[in-house]
Amino acid sequence: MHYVPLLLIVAGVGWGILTYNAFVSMKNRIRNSFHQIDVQLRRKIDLIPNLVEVVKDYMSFEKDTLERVIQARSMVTQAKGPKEKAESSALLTDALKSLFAVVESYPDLKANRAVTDLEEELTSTENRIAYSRQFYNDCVMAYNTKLEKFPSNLIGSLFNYEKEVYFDTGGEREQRIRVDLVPGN
Amino acid sequence: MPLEKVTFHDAIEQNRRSSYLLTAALVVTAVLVGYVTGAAQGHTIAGVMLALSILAVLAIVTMTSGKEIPLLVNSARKADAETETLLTNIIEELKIASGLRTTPEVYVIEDGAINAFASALSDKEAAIAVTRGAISNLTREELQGVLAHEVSHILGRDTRYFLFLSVFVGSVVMVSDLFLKIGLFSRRARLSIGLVVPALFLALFSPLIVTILRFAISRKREFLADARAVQMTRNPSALASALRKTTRIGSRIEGVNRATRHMFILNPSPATRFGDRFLFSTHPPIEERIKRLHMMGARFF
Repeated sequence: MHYVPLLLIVAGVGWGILTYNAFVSMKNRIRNSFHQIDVQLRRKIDLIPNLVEVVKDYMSFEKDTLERVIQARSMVTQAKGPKEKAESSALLTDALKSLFAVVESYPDLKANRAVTDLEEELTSTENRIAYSRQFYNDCVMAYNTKLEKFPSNLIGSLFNYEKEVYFDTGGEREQRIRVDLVPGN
Repeated sequence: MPLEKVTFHDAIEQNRRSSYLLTAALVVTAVLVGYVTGAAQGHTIAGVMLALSILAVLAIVTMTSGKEIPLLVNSARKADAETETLLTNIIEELKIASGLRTTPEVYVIEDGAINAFASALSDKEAAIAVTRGAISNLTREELQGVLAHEVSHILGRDTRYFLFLSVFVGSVVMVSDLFLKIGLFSRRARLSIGLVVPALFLALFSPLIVTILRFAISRKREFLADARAVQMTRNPSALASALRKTTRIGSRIEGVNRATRHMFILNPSPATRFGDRFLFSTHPPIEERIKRLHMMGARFF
């Protein structure tokens, strides 16, 4: 039975390669999903000018609300790092929430197809942002767990893989970020 | 009785495990059938090997075969991205939540009932169909829950799995039929008396056993898809309330193809005479699904 040790070595090396590759793809998935958060945030920012364009004629009495949205938007565009981005994005969401609360009191606006379309787009974008963060965190969890668990931790430490940090929304509760822009839903 | 709390992580793990167990039971049945068929011909090992290789070939064929046709069978029409923005938006959200690399194609079935199904042989070639009734009767979040359930089927490669199961069940039926006709009574048969009884039993009942197993697996996959949907949306209440709504509005689709009914989120064909709670149901009872969603944190309403 002299081939038994050989078989064991082949199996061991094979397992090592598979585990190493799993770490590589997990790491790439984390990087990609982190990028996705930015993409969706960009989408949110890009929707604001359209929204402002549509509602500004109606809302001459509500300059403050509109101002707040525009300001919050520029804060997001200038934000650096994930934490700052998350915080300014939450501010923008709050500003948008009050904007749509105002829209409620303008029957003309409420019936405007362009406004309802934008509302849907913004709701969807908020969801996408929340989901991209959630997916990022899920990926980090899977990766960190594999990094800690025996025996895959052996391969992880051999190639100096380090734990990834979760995306923190800056103390924000999920609830506040996943705002419902469509009333009654 | 207070409901036990489970996280969707636990629910997913648990469902996955029982799904594996049921698959193992299927394989064991197949090997047993191969064993007695082989024994009857005096080649026990050959019988087992044959059963295993049939399984392997089936697995390979179903995993590499081309596009599925259930979309055509159930007369689904491709959704127009311009007019169905809600639908395409939700799918795009779920793609992000699930980490799918390609956006599934969306189809609409013009029917007033609430239902949906997914058809996918890989996560790159996937399609989801949803009824008009679901779009117009459900709120945005409820519709999202239903579609998340379908995306879960895509993630779980369930279409392929079900395809494998139905071909598998078909071949077990065929083999045991063959065995009954020629195996048991051929001149070369060398069955001892001790083997005749279990062999006959297997030949007669294995089709029934694999069919029951297949339905059990189908029900498990529904629970699993529900749990996965919760993982994506973190909103068990919405899916629960969508399911509850269907008990009022109905999920039966006129002229649905019976062979595709296991792929729907809710049973689309009229209840069999056994009812929905029996062994031969493709779907678990809605009440049970709602109960499990509550265990994952859905609020009562």
